[in-house]
Amino acid sequence: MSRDPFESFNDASPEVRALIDAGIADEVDDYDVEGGLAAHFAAIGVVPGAAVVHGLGAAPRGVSTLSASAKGLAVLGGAAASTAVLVALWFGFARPRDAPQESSESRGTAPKGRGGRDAPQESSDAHAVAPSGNGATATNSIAAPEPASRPSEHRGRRSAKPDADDAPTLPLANSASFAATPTAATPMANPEKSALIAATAAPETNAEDRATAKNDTESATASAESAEERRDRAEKAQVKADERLELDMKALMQAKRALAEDPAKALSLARQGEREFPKSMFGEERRALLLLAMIRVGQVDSARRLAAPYLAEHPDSPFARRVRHALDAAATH
Amino acid sequence: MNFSYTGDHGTGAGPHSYEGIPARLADGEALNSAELFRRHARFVAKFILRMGVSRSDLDDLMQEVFLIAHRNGGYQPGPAKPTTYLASIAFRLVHTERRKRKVRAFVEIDDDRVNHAEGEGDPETSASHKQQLERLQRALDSLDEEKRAMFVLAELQGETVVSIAAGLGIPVDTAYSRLRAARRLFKEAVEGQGDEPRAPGALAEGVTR
Repeated sequence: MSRDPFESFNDASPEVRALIDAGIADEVDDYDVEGGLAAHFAAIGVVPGAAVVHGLGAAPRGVSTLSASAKGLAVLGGAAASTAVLVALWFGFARPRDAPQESSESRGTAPKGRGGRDAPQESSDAHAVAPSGNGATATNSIAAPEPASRPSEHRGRRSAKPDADDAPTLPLANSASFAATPTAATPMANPEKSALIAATAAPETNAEDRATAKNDTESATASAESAEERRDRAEKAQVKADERLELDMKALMQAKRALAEDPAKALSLARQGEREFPKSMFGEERRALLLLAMIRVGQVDSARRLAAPYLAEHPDSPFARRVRHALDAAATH
Repeated sequence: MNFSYTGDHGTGAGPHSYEGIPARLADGEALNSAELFRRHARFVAKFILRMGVSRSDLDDLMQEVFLIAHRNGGYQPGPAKPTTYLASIAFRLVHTERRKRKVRAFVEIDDDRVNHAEGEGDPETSASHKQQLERLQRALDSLDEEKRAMFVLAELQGETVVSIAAGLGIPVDTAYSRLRAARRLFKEAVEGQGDEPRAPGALAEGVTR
């Protein structure tokens, strides 16, 4: 651990030193880094499945590196996607008319009459859109193999599709370790995937087994539909909240940067921010910024009036302290 | 959307560099949030706990810290190190969360900020270590947030004052004076603890979510 050579705690008593040493030694080793990392992946949309593209689409800088993560996951996803390919092939050839019917039932939009000829083609798409090896994505490809059923979404995914071949070239994201993150793989262990695995084994067994496996797959698909819809809704809400937080922070930072050079602009930005983000988690900081900007543009009396309730509400806040100092300094000039 | 946290961790060396942060401290590599997590999760976890956050709230705050880092585009080389950059985000979040939840700076003496030290290694040593950490937390509780962050980062986590100043967006002189004051208060708090032993839970304040 590096220490500032010019600033050592020379007058620390042995007692104080002992406590500091205890704090230094406490490395919080029991914090579950892997679990936390998996949760972080989920939060930024790297896992599972469809969330990858959606989440990354919303991401600012670092998108390329995080799409790298997704690509890394695509490598691991290969196994599950291959499973999807096998199942899709089997259903496509053995029951060519079933697939569009399922599609119609589940989506309500898929045209019928699609032959088994297309199934292999779609199954290759399943390969492309299963970046995290998510069973749900693969299952959808099986149940609704008609690309026209969700054309824009499919195209969107394809345009941003993770290419497993690119994974090793990613700059920052260690795709291998991304893929190897045990908890990142955990979401795959869902009922849909179990059904897929069961269905994959079906062609090697008799017809009854196949029918059973197919029913299992249909049932799993139906539950996957609702689960996916719920997930989609939650993801959309989360993305919306994240985007708003991002805008909020961006606006705050713009105002902060302006404070030194152009306090009038900072004041305008802070006011605008208060209007646009009335319940901001950065409201306290933004209000301080507004007050500091007012002081700098010479609106000291107004700032003092506005500051009174703010300082009373946040007496120990570091932002309040800066406002207090700025007001004191303005009073002495 | 191209968005950076320039104002706070000081990547914006140039005409808009923030509040006297030195133009550049050191070169380094850009890191995305996942890589930041992998390398510095324990650093951030320790900082958050030493800032007085309950163990039960640690996971959520950790996620928020790295989500913001992600939204900021990860870490870009600049005056702040990745650690102090993350600490600056954590500091802000801890402050906001504490205020939101009306959590006082101290929680129950036998709190879960230190319980994780139990059961590791020799029982006698663990008990002693836990006791030391409890006393440490109590002494830290006597500092305000700014001094506490300064003290934790400089004394417990080995960060240089210059890097901390860059991370927190304060002038280096301010950081030095804050550290000096924090040391003095910490020392007084440690010495004062012996005079006024507190009953466990005497200062307990609900940390609820």
